[in-house]
Amino acid sequence: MSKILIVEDEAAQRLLYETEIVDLGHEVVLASDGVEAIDMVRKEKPDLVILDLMMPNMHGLDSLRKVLSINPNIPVIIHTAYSHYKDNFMSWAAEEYIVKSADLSELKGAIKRVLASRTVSK
Amino acid sequence: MHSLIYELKDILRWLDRFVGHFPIYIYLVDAENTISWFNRYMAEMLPNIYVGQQLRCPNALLPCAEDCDDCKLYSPLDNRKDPRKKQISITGSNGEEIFLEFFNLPVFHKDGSILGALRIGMDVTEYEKLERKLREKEKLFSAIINTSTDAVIFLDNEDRIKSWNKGAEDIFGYREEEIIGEPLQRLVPDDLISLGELNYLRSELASQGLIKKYETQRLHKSGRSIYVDISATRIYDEAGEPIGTSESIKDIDSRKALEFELLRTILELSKLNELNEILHRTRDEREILRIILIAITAGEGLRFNRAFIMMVDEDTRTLKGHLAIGPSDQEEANRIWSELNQDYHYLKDIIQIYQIDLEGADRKVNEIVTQIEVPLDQEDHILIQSLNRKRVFQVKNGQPLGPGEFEFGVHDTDLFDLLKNDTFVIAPVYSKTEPLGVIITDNCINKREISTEDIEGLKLFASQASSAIENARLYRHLEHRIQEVQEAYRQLEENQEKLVRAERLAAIGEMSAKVAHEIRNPLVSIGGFARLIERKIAEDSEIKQYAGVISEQVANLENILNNILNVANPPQPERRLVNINQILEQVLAVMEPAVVKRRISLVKSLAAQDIFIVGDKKMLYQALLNLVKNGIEALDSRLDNREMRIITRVEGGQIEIQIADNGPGIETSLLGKIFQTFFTTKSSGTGLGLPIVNQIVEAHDGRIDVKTEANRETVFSLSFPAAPEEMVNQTASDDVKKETHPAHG
Repeated sequence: MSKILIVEDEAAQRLLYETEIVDLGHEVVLASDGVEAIDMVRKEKPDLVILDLMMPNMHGLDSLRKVLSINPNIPVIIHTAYSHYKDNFMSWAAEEYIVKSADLSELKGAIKRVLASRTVSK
Repeated sequence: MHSLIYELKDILRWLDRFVGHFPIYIYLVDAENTISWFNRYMAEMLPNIYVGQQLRCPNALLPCAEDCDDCKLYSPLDNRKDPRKKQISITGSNGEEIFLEFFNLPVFHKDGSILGALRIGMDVTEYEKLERKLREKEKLFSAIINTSTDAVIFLDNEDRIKSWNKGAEDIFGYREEEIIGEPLQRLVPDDLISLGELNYLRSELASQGLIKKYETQRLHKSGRSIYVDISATRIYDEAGEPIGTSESIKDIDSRKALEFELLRTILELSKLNELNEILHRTRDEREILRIILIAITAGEGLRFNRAFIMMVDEDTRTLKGHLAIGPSDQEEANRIWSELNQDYHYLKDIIQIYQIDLEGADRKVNEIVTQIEVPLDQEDHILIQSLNRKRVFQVKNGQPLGPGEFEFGVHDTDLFDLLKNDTFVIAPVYSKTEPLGVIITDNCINKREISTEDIEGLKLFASQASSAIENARLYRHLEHRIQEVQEAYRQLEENQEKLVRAERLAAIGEMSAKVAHEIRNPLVSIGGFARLIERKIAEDSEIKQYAGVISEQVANLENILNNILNVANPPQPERRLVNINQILEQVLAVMEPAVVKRRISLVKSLAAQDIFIVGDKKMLYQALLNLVKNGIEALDSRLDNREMRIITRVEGGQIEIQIADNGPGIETSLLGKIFQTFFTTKSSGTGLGLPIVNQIVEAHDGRIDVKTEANRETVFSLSFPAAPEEMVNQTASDDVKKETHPAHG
């Protein structure tokens, strides 16, 4: 069981991801924007961050930089409605880049992959 | 003594009564010129006369102041030899001048001494007046004739020259005294005499009486022949008998010379024109040289015996012999030209028919021409001088005419030795921008003198050649440029098409990307929760079915969104090994529900082995998904026997994929448009499906074709370059095997 931080400004999606990921058997903590996310990374020390990009207050890529400055080893999955941030260098710092879909199997696959590789490297 | 006088007086008185008032003057004078008697008429006409009047001379009926020694009328009374016709003029009583013609009849004494004279005078005033007029006219005529620049001559019936004016002297060079009495033949050229010209003119005059402006030639004293125009009139006497011919002869030599010059110029121009016409039909340089050489040597052209052409060779930096024409001896010359002249009268015909025969007739001159080679930097050489200074040189007996010293050497010999001739003309051939070559031409066979006209003609022909060669070169250059421009234009068109497409897409893209993203977020929630419900609800619940419908429709919407976003912002494909068969299986798995539901029989014929291309898995998945969906939707309008065939195979390094359906097909007129963005025939289509397929295929260096036959078969064929063998082998063990499920669009 891992602790996963979900950073998502939209409450409905937050609930959806929380439900699905808890069903996978993980512990979930939530943040509704980048500023909160940084706070949660400090406090909760999650094993994995699922990060939305277009959020109020702070852009996800800026949040990503901050998160990694706190803990450079924490794996981050970018989970966004936009595909074009793939071209942004900063997004390369994330382990995975998943374009949002109602079908969460891709996201779930990525979570599995990332956690598995972390377990191996640990 | 005096009785004779008195007797005479009595007779005269009697006579006077008889003569009455006839205009006859009769008077008697004695030896001392004293009037002793005069008749009545005389008394009437000269009222101042009286008997006993002493006259200065027998003629001086009026007071006369003239010295008798100078007097033309004076003659002594006793002049027996010439009794008659002493004309005098007197002024009559009416003041008019009267002309009298006198007979002087001296009267002698027995001893022979003179007693006096009887004088009888006739009034000849009328005749005298006529005669005076005549004399004036004569003067006028002779003045006219003598001031005329035309020759005016009079010929008698034997055509002997009887009069000769100043004009005649000027035209023919003979003075009057040299030619008067000579026959007309002296003035006529022999050939015209032998042609019978004089007889012709005579018969013409006899029948017509005159000849007007007859143009012919006459001889000058020097023997030179001059062009003249003759007008002649037959002259008759009062009885109507011909007495001769008057001829007016005009010198038209200078006019004729102009006419001939004009004619020559016209002929030259027409020659030139003819040459020009032929020259500009060809773009082949060697052909142009051939034509010029023929024109220079042909009988209808400049009639030179031989012509040689040397051209600038940029590679060797020399002026190098190229081509020549001309017979090697007189016999051959005669044979060639008589053959040609028999059948061909125009330069163009000769040019068409006469090929320079390097093996035969023209072998010798071409052997000569190939030996001529002069370095371009040998500036004192006469050929290089002609070339560089664009000058024509005439060389006569080994000497160039005009100033300057020149070299004639060619290798270890010289031009004279090569040409076997020391009299020739050199003319340059040059374009506007550069010297092209030189022509040497001569008359070494018939030794005909090279005239100024020949040289002028040569210049003209050479300049024609120059412009033709220049044209040919320009044309070649132009052709090359046209090809370049055409190619550039084609590329431009292609690029423009792409640009327009790209611009349109960019504008649409920006808009739609915004909308798409805004929609995607709520869709995630809707679809996500629907799936959650679907998963959490009991298997037999109706709600599960409803949630299924929602998630299916959301997936559909998401697919559309992906299409829009891809068109708007086509991503660069990843370049990884992609297993085509595997992707197709995934696509078919996703589409299976739809296939089953629509009762479509699916025929799958996939290549036995795994087939790989290098590319982006997600994009290829999207492309194949679109094609399969397209096929499935096309089958909706078909009631039964719905069929789809999916084929993959490897052929010649290419991976081929065919997706076929037996739907209604695509109208031929629409085939060109189906890959255009937003073109759709479906009421519910976005018009993005096939354009995205096309975009993805292009991004993978692939090709897409469509063949359609209404209600039988519509086949989309894709082909991609197969992945390189070594890449497949290298990665086969790790990456590919590790790949988990693919992402769904």
